[in-house]
Amino acid sequence: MFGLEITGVTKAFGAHKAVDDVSLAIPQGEFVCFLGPSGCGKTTLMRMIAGLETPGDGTISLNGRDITRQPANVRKFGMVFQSLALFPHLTVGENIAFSLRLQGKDARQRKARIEELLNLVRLPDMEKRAVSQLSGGQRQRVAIARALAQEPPIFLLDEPFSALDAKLREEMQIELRLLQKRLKITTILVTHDQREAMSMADTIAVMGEGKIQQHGGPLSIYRAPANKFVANFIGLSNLLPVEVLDRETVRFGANILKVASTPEPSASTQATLSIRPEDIQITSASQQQDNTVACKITFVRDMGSSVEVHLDCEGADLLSVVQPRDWTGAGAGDIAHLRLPQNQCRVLAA
Amino acid sequence: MTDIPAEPKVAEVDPARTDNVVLTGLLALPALFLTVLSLVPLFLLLQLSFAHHDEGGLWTPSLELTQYAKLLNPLFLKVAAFSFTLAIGTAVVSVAIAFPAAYFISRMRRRAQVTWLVFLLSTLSLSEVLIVFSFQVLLSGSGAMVKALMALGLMSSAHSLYPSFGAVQACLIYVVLPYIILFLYPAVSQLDDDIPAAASTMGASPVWTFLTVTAPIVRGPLLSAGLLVVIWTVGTYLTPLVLGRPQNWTIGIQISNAAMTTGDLPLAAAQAVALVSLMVGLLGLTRWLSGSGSVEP
Amino acid sequence: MSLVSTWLRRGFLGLVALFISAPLIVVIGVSFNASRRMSFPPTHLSFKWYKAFFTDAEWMASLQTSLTISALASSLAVLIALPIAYAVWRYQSKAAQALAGAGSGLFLLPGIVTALMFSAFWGVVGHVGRVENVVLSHAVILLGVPIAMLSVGFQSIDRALIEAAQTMGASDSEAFRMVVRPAMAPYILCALVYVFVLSLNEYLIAYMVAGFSVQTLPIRIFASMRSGYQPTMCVGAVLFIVLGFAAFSFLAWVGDLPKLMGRHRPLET
Repeated sequence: MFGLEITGVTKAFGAHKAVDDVSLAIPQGEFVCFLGPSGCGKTTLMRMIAGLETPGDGTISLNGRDITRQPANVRKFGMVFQSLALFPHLTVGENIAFSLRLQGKDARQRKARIEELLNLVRLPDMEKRAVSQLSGGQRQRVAIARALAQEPPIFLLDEPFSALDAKLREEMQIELRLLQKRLKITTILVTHDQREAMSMADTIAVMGEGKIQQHGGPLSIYRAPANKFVANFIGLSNLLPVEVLDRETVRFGANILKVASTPEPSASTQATLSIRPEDIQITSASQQQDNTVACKITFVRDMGSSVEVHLDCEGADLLSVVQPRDWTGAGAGDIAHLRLPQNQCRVLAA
Repeated sequence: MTDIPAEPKVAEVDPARTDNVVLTGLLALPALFLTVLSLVPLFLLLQLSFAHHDEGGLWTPSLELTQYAKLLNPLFLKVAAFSFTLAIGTAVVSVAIAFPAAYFISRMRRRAQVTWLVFLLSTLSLSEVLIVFSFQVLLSGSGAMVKALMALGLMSSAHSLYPSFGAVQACLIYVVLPYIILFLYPAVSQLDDDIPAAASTMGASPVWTFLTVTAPIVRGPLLSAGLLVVIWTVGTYLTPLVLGRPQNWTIGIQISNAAMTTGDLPLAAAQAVALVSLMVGLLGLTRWLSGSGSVEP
Repeated sequence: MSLVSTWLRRGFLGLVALFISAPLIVVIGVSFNASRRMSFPPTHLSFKWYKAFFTDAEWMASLQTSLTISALASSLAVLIALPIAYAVWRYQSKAAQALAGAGSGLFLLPGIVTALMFSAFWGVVGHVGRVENVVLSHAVILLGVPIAMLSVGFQSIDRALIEAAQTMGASDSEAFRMVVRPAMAPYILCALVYVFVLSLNEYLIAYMVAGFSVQTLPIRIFASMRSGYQPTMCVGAVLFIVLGFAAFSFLAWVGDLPKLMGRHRPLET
């Protein structure tokens, strides 16, 4: 296969399995995000791909060649570290030329490549600057240029934007995505920020407890989370305990609800119904429709651009986000009727 | 900057194996050096303390306890007790001076801080031999100290301030002070300024804050510093020899007398082993009492 | 801080500075004193002891012996400490940790004990009264100093720097040469100077290990102090103070001295 292939990779630190039997194929030129909470194993997986950590079990191969035991300095996958790891004793140009010096490129070749890369990351004429003289965003660009200098087969980024303020972070995300599209380089980015992952990646691998919980396009993951973990981690989800009646019907307390049909019959009768807050519609009491439940409003937050309504539904907490123009203006203690559209209600394992 | 040519690289190597090879290469020489020059001499000292003392500075290997028996006389025990009292006194006073000094220095502007550090480091260039000499000059009957005391009316007739216990104590404090300030500097400079600030917003005075908030936070380094001083000064030799009366003489002088004057190396070794054992005992006691604190330099 | 506490602080630091500089002032004063009498403050200024020092073959020989011993001992100590501290930091090696402990432990023994230990050791080896005895003894006893200083240095290096170098194709030795060595240079220099100064001024071990056959400067000074005092001895001391001041000023000039001495928190100018 052309691209990076990870098969059954496991890594344990003592008794703790940081990465547990992970398999993943990344086609050439794709931008993948490893997304998950801290401690989910995403950084360990990336470090194994870079060769900084050796898998306890499993194989990693690049373009069909097994590289599991190859050390990092032979793989030479360009990597941007969370701390950026710019060499403080070298100038911007010397940092970028580090890999070129190791390759034995002469001064003229190095100079040409430094200029090319500095133009690429939009930092022309910064070659002679000391790293300490740069702003946060400039350092970021230098780290990216340095990792790209060796024309790596795979480009790795470990939470590269976590130290930047919100505005600069968004700018850098767009810039990196454009750069990646231009260079058509296989890129893996580790992040805990779902917004970052959603806005940049071709595919997202959601990680939790050392495993890949779901791998797919950003929208398909958002629309159809595969399990409770993904539903909870990506965006906000309402999770309700339900009893499965058949492949399209569940019971929630006293209510019978129609749900999007599951591809295979549920193994147990106990399940979880997941629905996004923005998919819940609040209707007036008079309308009697299918899939409606009556709830008590506990708290209303008017955010201006949207209204957050917190509700108590048969003992379960529920959140609905509605547009201000659709909001009836009810307050805490009032009864609201919620309509849960059938194809937005997904049944997940309990 | 020079170009570094690309070397041909071995592709498939086990990192754990290479690490071991590298480690052996790195540590072989240091291990040999430390074994020959620290383990062997230490073992020798131990063996020597059980050896038999012959006339004329000679000795024969043996396993007798004669030397240790000699240590049980009241005279030696008195000297040992005095040595430890002197060392602990030095520790308490020098840490009491060094801690606030290091704290104030670490709060200065960079230039002032660097100046202080250079000054402290430069004073380390003064050998203990010369420090002792300077104290002789300063404390002599015609020295600056006596003149100052006379001018202040604190002294009626000019006479030399040494040999005396005070001179020994002051000189020892002098010898360790720059080291202890430098030892405490890293710990003290790491202190978070917001913590004393928080105490003062709750109404604590600067002195109260210093005593009840700042000092307890750096208790570990302070204790380590104190123990370090005890270790350094308990075997002191030059200072009490020159500035003290015979009753101010320490184990250090006893050991060197046994070794260099009497030529009784086994006795000197036994005294040295006893000194180190007492020291280790004190260390253990302090650790046990405090429940924490290490003596890493 | 209030005005009172500011003045209290300044007064306290002033007294400490006075106490610490008093012997320095005495030694410098005596070295320039015209009179032979041991008195302070000096009566007339003169350079005659400097002339005496630099023209006396014995003093010059002692100076040379001392400088040689210190240069060799400090180089050796740093050379031994460097791989130990590196192995502790880079590989978390248990063996290296044990060696570091042994090296530091020796430094914590009282000087008189180590002096006796080495005098017995060289006696048994049958290699008595030689310069190399002092060099080796100093190197091993002072080993704790460079181990501690170099460890501080290594800990200040972000491990990601090494990994970054690896992902760019650097082998272990290349990463050491291109990343670790430049970062460590000031710490190595600092450790060298520190051990040099400590060895230069050490009296007891040099005296007991090499006796009177090797006359280091402190040994000669002590002998001259005991057998009727000569102001000449202060000249050597002044020389050392100036040398030490120059060395540490140089360190402060080329490196970040507060950081070298173990301060981690950045210090604004």
